[in-house]
Amino acid sequence: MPDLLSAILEYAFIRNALIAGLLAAVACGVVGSFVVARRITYVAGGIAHSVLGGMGIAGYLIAVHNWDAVTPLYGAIAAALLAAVVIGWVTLRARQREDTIIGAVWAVGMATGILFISQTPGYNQELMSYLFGNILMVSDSDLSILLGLDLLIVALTLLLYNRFLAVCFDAEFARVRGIRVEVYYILLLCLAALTVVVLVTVVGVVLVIALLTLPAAVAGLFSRTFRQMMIGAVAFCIFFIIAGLAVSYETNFPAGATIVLIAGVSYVLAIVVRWLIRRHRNPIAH
Amino acid sequence: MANVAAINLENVTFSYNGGVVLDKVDLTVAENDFVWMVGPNGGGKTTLLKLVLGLLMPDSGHVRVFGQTPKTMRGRIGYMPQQTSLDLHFPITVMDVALMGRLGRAGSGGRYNAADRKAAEKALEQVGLADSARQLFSELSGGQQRRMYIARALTCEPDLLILDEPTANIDQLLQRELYQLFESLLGRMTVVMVSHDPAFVGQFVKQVVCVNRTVDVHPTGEVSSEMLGEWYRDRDLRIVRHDRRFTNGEDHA
Repeated sequence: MPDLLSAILEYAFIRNALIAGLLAAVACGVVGSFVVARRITYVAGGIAHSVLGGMGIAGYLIAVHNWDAVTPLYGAIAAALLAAVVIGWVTLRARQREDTIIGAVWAVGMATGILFISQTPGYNQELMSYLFGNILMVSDSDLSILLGLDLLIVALTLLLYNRFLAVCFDAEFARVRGIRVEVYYILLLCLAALTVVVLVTVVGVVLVIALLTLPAAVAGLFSRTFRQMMIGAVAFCIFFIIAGLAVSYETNFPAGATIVLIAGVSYVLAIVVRWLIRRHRNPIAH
Repeated sequence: MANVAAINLENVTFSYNGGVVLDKVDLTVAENDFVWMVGPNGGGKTTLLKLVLGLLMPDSGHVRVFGQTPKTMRGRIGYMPQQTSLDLHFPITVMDVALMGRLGRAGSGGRYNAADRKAAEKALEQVGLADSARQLFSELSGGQQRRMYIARALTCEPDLLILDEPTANIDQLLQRELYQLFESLLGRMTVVMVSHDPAFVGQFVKQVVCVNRTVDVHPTGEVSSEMLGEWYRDRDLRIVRHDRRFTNGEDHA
């Protein structure tokens, strides 16, 4: 840990990594709580993997057609939003096909990405950093995009909190109260999509789901209200990312995988701790 | 707007996947009436309520609520569903659920105001859940959950209150309190209540709406226990047992 601290002061790229991690934690705690509570982890998974398509296309346009104004992050945003709207719309129109459409978006997105990356010169390295993240490569301009996405996510959630909560908890009742459930559901998926984009820079396409759900799941074990769950999820996410960065700095392990493993181990520990607390409080019932 | 009916169904037909659930139904409920809705399971009660709420659209015919389409009148309706497929592990308190009755009002997106909280507190008190306001939804018993949904419907401060089996899973003592609550609503709002429990409702309800693919409306006195007994043969032991005891008593005399 002290090594990481001195490295933060010394190297800009480690500072950027830490800032990206903190920004990711905010989005991940806020939106991840909705994803976990509404049980749409696999929707988020489909969105996450479709992001590879967008990044692949953007990378191809940059390398082959010299589109200088574009970065892979723009491609990721476009693909994530498209996937969110497609999945949301099809789910609302034909409920029973939800898993099929998620699977299709998931695989088609990845296939598109792999195809374009294969046609892009020097593709091997790109592919690995898209798939597994490369938090040590976050540029200043990436950071400002991440900050913008974060502000958007937090502002919309605060503004529409009660409606999101009602749509997640009891969509039918929300509809009877005159809430346009479809609009809010797709908007929530779009927020999940933007969060996925933020997280992809930290842990990559494949590992996003872990960071989106595990901090919220851990917080959910100890929360009494949805607000507590959100705040707890942000805190746990910050802890996982900083701890992961510190360990990976010491050991030279890949940062994304280290962060996810720490989150996973913490989740298991949290379940055990909660079980022990309950048993302690109520020894007869358990 | 003199005397617009609270609910007006005209020649309404509805079917699920080709099976006709409601067939050419006419029904008028006057404003501030208290209507008891009965009928066998699968007879179309919940479907009829969902048509009134605008959650389902009729295949043919018209549904009007306070003279308008259900969707435009939703702000005036409080609804308590029969079954909810809600996630029991959703981290939310009883108070937060009750507050959802205030949704759809101006500014209800971000924060609820003091009036919203007051309405929710009052409704929780009315159903006897005032002490449970801070409890988690997942900590409630089945009966407490039913009462929480009643409170949520009351929090809407509706002109039309729709209750789908409000007393299922609720013990006798609390049932009596709830019916006192419903009785206190008489004349203050229009109430449509589905219930399998005639022993209480019959005391203060004037109209009985019988839903079984078609709809018949009777004054409460006309509904014979044979009629109910036939519908609730397997369900409402109270009626059947009561009749049998009475007959036995006469036989012995």
